[in-house]
Amino acid sequence: MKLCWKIPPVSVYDIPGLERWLSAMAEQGLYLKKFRPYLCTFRRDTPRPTRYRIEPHRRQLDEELPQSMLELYREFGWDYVAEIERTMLVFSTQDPYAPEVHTDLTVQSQLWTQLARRQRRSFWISLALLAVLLLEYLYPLAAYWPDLPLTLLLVTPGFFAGFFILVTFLAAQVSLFRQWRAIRSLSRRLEAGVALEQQSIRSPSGKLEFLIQAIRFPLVLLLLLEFAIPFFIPKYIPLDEFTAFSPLSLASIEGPGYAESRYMMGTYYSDERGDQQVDANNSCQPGTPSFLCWNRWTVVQTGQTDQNGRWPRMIIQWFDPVDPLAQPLARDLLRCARTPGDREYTWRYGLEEDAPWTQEEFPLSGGYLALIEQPSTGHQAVAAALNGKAVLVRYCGGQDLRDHLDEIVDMLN
Amino acid sequence: MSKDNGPLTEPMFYVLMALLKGDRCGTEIADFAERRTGGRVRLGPGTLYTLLARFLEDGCLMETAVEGRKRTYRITPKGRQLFQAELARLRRCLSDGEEELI
Repeated sequence: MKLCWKIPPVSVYDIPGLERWLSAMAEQGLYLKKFRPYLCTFRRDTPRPTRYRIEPHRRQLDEELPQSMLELYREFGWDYVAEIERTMLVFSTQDPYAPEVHTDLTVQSQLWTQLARRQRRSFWISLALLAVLLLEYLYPLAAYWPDLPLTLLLVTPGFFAGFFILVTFLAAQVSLFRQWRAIRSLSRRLEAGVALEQQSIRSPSGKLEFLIQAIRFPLVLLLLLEFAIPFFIPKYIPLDEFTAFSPLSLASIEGPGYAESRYMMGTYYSDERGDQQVDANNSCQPGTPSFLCWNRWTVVQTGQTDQNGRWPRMIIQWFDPVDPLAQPLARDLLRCARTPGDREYTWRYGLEEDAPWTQEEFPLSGGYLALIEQPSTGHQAVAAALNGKAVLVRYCGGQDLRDHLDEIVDMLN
Repeated sequence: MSKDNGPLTEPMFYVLMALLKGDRCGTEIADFAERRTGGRVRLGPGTLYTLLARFLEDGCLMETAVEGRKRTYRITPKGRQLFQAELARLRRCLSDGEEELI
């Protein structure tokens, strides 16, 4: 059986338009096989004049097709063809003598009015769900307002895809509203005695629904991929196995007398290394790739507390985002380093919330290089961007990061 | 509609009438209405299915047999009562009109 696919030129709820289009397709030898609002499947056969009629029939998830209805229609020469979004059934006949499906406009208008009411209820339920989704999505952003680290959010897994999926949901909501209005208008005209075949409805094109689906489908896949990837990458990698870039070494900054603080943890290697133990205090953690940043790493190095009670530690966050994001990302990273989150214990320890910070910028050809420091606590952070990559080095210890700016920039080469 | 105790529409009236003298299936009901009214009342499958479903729901009709694709319907005492009430209403309408003409 030869199949072909067509985008409906009218909305699902432009019933007369849809019926006319299906009949025109049949005249070209294309018979509807499966109806999707954004892409219909047709089978090829000999062209024959065919009448199509669409009947409202809302079906619950666990409900079967109404066999008694299909049988009665068949008795009158009308065959069931397909279902539209579990709310309508498509019938067709090639018998020129088969009676019209509806011979009483009042009864017909009551059927469409029922469907319009259900569509209105669905619209409000869907709007409420969308509002919850929007709140869920926007609430974390409000926490940063007005200093929203936009670039940081853009490289966060799920944010980019989630945002566009929300946009497509909003577009679908608008489409749902217009569909409800189209059905209501159709039922009112039937009530006024205008037969369906004589109606002409201004409705959104089916191309809009196709576009929404075409955008949404790959984004949903991307979102799922972004959530699935963490299950397939190891959580910790020993520093000596790390090859993505050469991280600045805490041992070399601190010099003689430096001793690592160790915290051995099991890893999630899926190969022959099995459950090899890794020192989580001195390790590399791959970040979940996101649409705008496929490669990102966090390198943690932690030393033992020295005789002066000083706890040396360094956290390097390294990103390889899409080129234009690198510099703004470095600036946002530096800005956010002043106000770490509750889970950033290693960096937050000893930080004074209200103590002042100083900031210095250094010249870097074609890039960005800046340092912030909280003099009262000795916390230092350097952000740099070069060659489309960005890095943030957060350090606390007895030395000065100003002496290691070249090594920091080298991590971006 | 019967639910509202309002007058029956013409298609409703003829659906009930078609079953007064015996059980009939869908196409037989439609044929009866068309023949009886000289083609004035025609019942398409959409209209007939909706009316049958409502009458079944209201207990005015019942299904008696399912043979292959065919379902046969029978009028219930409630349906007969509804038909007679509509007939009485129509008679009153007719006599009102005739009295005014005299």
